[in-house]
Amino acid sequence: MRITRGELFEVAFWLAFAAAAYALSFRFDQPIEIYRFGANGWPRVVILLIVLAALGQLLAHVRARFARRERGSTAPFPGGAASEPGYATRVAAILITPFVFAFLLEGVGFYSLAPFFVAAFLYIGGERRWGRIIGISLFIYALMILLFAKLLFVGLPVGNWHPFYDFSNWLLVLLQ
Amino acid sequence: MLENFMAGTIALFSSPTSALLFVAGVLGGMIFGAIPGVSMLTLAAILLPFTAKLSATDGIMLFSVIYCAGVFGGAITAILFNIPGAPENAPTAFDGYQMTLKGQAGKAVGAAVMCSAFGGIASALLMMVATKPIAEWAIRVFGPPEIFALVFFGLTVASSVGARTLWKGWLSVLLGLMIATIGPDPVGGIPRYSFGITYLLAGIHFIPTILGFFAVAEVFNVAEKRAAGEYKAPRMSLDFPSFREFWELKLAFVRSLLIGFFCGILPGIGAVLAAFMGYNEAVRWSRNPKKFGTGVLEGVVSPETANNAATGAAMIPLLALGLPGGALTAMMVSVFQMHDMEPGPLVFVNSGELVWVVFAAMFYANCSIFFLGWLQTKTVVHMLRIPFHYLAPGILMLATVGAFAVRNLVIDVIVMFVAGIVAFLMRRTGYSVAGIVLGLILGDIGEQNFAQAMQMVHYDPAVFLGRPIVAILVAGGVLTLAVNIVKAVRGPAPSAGNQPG
Repeated sequence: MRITRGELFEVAFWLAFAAAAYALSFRFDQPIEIYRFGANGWPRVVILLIVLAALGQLLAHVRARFARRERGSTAPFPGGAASEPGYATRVAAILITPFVFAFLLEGVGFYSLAPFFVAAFLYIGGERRWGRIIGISLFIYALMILLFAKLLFVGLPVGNWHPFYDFSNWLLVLLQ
Repeated sequence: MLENFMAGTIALFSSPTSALLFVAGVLGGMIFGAIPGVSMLTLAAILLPFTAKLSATDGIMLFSVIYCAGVFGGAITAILFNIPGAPENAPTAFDGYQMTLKGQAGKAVGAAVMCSAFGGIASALLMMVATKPIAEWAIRVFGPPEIFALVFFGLTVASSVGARTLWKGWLSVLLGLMIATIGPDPVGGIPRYSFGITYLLAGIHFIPTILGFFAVAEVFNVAEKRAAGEYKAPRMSLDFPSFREFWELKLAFVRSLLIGFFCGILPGIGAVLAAFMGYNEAVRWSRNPKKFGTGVLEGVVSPETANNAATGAAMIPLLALGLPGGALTAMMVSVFQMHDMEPGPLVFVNSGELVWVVFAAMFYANCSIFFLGWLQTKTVVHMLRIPFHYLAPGILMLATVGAFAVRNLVIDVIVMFVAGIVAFLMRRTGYSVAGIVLGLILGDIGEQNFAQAMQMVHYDPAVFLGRPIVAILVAGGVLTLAVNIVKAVRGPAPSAGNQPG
């Protein structure tokens, strides 16, 4: 019984990662007068250990396959896509939405973007009652603003783009 | 000693200003300590300029109290939401959050309260008794070779924490070590893996990565389970750990107390290493190491005892030798300097009252944790009644602010979300987030001390291993490694079952 493609990919990923890290380590291989091992000594030791551990993991996969063959088990490893409708779309939305929020943060600012992000995440999380979505979004937003902007004076992104920057500053002045 | 302690107590509470500062320090430390990315260091930095207006005694007392309360504060969010308030609370999340998922949140929080309080009280008492001799011994005996050996010893057990196989455990730790190499090398300052990107020249800050690995990854994990129809809300409980449960963990408590105290004495190390070492040694000495990461009380008791035990010990090198044990104690050096004082041996001679007020304040701060923390177990745990999909965006907002607040960089927020995705994918494939975090935190400390050690011993391995403490720690680490590898190669093939983490 051969090891699966997933398991091979896993080992190949680590070996490729180690190879890339090793190749890149030549960019900082200039000697350091007071230190024999230089800037790339420590990373290269870690890379070597990654290679050894990846090969050890390959060995573990092979042994697991042999053991299952001896036990006569043909069942695949548990896991697999869930059968809930729209599962893949929802998971993609869960993982992508925070990145959209983070990338827009610089331009739009926290004060303008936060309530919409909270509402979007509530919707993706399965909440469909708009009253609750709006209410909870405003509640979390108000809590964050009061705690960080008003009480703790933690600076948050105000945004670079025209209307959002003005709104953020207006809100900060209002809070003072 | 008792006379001095009573004098310190009277001096602390007889002045209304001092008493008020004490209360504010305890509450402020606990609240700020619970907010990831913001933490007690932010509070201390905000207050630092204002300490010029206070007396030297009040200023140092305030900081020491914030330290004690702040180290404990982050444990609550670590346990309830898998969001450690500070790096020293990260190991608490490994088992503490799993206990919450098993409906034992009250027990976990209660254990954190008790162990933080008792660990801190014991440390404060040890500090009062033995500051000067311990400081002198630590500086004489412990140098970079010993610290590197300690880190090596700690990392050898890291592979046992929360991964499906030994090799996945090691790959997790090694990934953390690799991430820690990004940025300037500790000797020459040569940028590594920066790709010409300004952000990477300074390295990846560990606060956004820890927030990503814990808080964000957990939100993704639970949201995915809800999408798959597999999510079960944790049962809420207000059970406090029983005396019997604590008694069974007495050895773990004492071991972690000593580890925490010992790590706290070492200048530049502090509560972070203490917490990780406390957890690691609990795993190493356990008869069933695989249970760690699944939600066991010992996994909460060990790091919380150790990190609070380190607080008292961190004052020892500061007061006796003028060497700060961490960021907060480094700020305390500034407080001394603002009042034209130099921390070190003369402080005991010239400002004995200051020393004993600080000792008394730390003792009472740890006692306060006990009572305030008990109150928290009856109140904060009710937050678990809130459905997770309502909490999730709040957690992400808190994490976003925490990541941004570190350096006021939006890119730290992006790094946090990247770390969240990486941890989400790695957990699904049987890797250990705990291992990554261990490697990330200990990697910097290990490499720096290794470089200094090699220069000290002129690259001679015989001289390096000839130091007794180094030899013992390295031998212990190699033995642990060898045993684990032999078990992994010879033992039964790993099952296809789920692993925690």
